[in-house]
Amino acid sequence: MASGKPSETIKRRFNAEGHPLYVDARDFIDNAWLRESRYRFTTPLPDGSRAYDFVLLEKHRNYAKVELTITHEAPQRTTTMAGMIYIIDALWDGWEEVLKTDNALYSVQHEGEYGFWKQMNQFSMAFNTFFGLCHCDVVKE
Amino acid sequence: MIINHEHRITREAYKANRTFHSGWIHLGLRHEALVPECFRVRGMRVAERTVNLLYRLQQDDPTVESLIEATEFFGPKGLRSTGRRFAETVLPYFIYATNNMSEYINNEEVWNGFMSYLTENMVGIPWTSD
Repeated sequence: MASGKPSETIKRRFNAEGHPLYVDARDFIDNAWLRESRYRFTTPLPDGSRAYDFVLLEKHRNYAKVELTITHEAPQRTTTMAGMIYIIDALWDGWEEVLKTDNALYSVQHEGEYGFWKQMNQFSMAFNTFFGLCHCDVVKE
Repeated sequence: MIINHEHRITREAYKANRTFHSGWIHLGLRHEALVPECFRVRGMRVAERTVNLLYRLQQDDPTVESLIEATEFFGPKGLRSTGRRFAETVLPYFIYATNNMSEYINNEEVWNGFMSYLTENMVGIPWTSD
């Protein structure tokens, strides 16, 4: 029964740089890509910088597909790593073929045969740092 | 006297293509500023310790046995105190760092054998999900 009081809302959290942090994959899929399809962040380093480039490729009801390119610029050399990350709220028909794995899925899931301890990588951690999404949440059946 | 890539004085020249092929140094794993919050340990430079261990692994013969020996974490009676301290503090960042180096590993079979031994004997349970 309605109590007559307004329902409780959770205040959006922000990181030290003022970027919004998301509660979970559902929140991220629904709210992170309303006006943007690309996010860029740069972290300065003593001998250069590291740039993170998030590009939204696909957005579905249960998941979003994001390409993340990490570029490390140092005086000697520039190194680039690219990965395809799926942000998953719930399983969908045919997810095994799309993700090329039948392991347990995480809500921040690197494409390919990534097991439990391989979840700790620069791509999944970047979603933690810039969007507040944990690499350790398993998608429930 | 030889000054290696990591600016340490050793008896041997730095081997650029042994356990890992060249290029991994430029991934930026040694920067403490890039260590994700959840891997940081107060008062400890986890990135520096991790990269120092990676240099030791690079210098040794690329076999599972010699890589395990190069860590100096295991003795005849099992895990040494240095290994226990490493497992309690640096191991998560070490796992994170090595997961980012998969393109630079020369012999995947040896590397997987080494990592399985390291994690299972340090943590006590298998870490792989399959």
